[in-house]
Amino acid sequence: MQQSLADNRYHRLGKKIFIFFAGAVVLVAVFSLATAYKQDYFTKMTTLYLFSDNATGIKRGMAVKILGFNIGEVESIAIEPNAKVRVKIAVQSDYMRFVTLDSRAKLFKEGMIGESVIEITPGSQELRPMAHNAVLPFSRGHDLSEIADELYGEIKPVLKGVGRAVAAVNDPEGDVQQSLRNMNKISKNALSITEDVASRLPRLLDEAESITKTVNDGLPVMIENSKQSLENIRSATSDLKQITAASAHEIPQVLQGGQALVKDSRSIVDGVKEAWPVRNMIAPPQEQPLLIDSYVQPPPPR
Amino acid sequence: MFNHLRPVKYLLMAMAVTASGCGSPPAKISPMLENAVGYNLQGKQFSQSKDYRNALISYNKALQVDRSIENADGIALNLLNLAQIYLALNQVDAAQASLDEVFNNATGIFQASQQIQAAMQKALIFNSLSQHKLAGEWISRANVLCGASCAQRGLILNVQARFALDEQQPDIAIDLAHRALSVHQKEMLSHEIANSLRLIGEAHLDKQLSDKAIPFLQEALQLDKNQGLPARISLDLLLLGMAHKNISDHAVVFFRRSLAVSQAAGDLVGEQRAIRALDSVTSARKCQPNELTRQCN
Repeated sequence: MQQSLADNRYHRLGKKIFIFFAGAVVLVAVFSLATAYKQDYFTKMTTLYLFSDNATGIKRGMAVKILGFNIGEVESIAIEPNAKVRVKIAVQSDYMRFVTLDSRAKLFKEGMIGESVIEITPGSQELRPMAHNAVLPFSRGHDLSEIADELYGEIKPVLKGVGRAVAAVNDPEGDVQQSLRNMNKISKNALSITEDVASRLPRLLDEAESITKTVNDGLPVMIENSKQSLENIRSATSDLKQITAASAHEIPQVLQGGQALVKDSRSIVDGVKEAWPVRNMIAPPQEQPLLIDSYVQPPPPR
Repeated sequence: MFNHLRPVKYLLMAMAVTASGCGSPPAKISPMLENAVGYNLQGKQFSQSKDYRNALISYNKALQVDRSIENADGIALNLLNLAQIYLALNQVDAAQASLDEVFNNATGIFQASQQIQAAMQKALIFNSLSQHKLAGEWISRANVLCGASCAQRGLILNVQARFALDEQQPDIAIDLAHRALSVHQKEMLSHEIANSLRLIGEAHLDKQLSDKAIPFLQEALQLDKNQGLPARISLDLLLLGMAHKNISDHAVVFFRRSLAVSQAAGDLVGEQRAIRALDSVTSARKCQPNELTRQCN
């Protein structure tokens, strides 16, 4: 009975082992394919080369970006016989349409403490894309120390100026110190003036009160007079308006009459001029000669 | 007695009045000519106020209008006026050109009297430029054109007298000036009468006949004063001073009066002449009285 049981467990054992290993192989294969896909092993890549003076900051596997997108990586770094560093990069062929003949590659750091990356600037779309194995012009961006040097160069004169300003402020014979002393004097004078004003203030207030009282006493009379004057003016204006309104239609007539009178007078004068015997007394206007005489100015004395 | 003739008298009077009233009215001038007259009178006003630039503009406008209506008298008159203005502005060539146009009379529209005037003005210009020969030629031309009688006869005689005096021919000058004087006295031209009198006086001074010169010069002075002509008054006084040279105090008074008039009128030439005359009296009297007119040094 025990024998029969043992036989059943080992029944078709070889087949079972085969299935187990086959399943493991399939799983490994699927995992490997997935990894390869993830690693872009199935993406078509274009190889480009960069040449640099040195390899500082460049390392294998470094990302290559365009417009901030990761499009490839550094495949290898090697020293050339002419002491130049050759960097081989692989760029996904799909993005090669942006990498045209006038594109440039630049090494720079993403953020203050970020990774260094190679950024490719997109070229003009009118030009054709770079060919496989082409050389991309390369330059290095400013690293932190260089930026710090530049910053220091710019800040240095400012700092010197601040130093001189501080020295000038501290100089006892300087303008600032003298101004402060003057301010002190002015403050003291202002204080004494204030004290003086304070001492006189009660008397001034008394006088002001007296003036106010006088004005208050006289003001009603003045207001009454003003009212009367305004009333007179209003009345006179009203009269003037009435006179103007009454004569409004007469004024143009008077003016027209005046014009007509002038015209008539002119006509009368013209008529008189034309009439006998006046016409014989008036000579028609004539052009006149300048006086010519025989006087000769003697020559000036010598 | 003649009452029956009264209606006839009234009738004759009425006819006379009517006849005189029917006389043709004075010819009206055209608007264009009116313009020319306006510009001409404007030019005269500018000239009298010594604004010669504007006078030039006005006379040129008058001339242009006169040319456009071929008013020959106006053209000649304005050309002669322009010559005087150009001369006042020291533009002698332009003055000569204006006078040549009148004298040459290329269009044949000008009258002889206008040509005579042009010739006479040219003579005076040449005289002022000290080109005495040319001046003599032009006054001769004027004289030939004038013939026996013309409106400018007196002027020509006076100018001839002046030239004779400058050529130190006082007798001829006196003769010519006297003839001019009689012409001008007939025409009542005061300024020309004064010119003739002055010339006679100056000629007598040249002949060292001071006593004869004085009455002519005094009369000339009076006429010049009446017309208010400062340069001529100053010259009359100067000549009177020379005529009184023998009585030095009198001479000094006349010279001072001459100086005062010239100074007041701003006549620098007259002023210099008077100062020089005063110096000659106060100094050692190296000059003869008649020599002063010839700028005795």
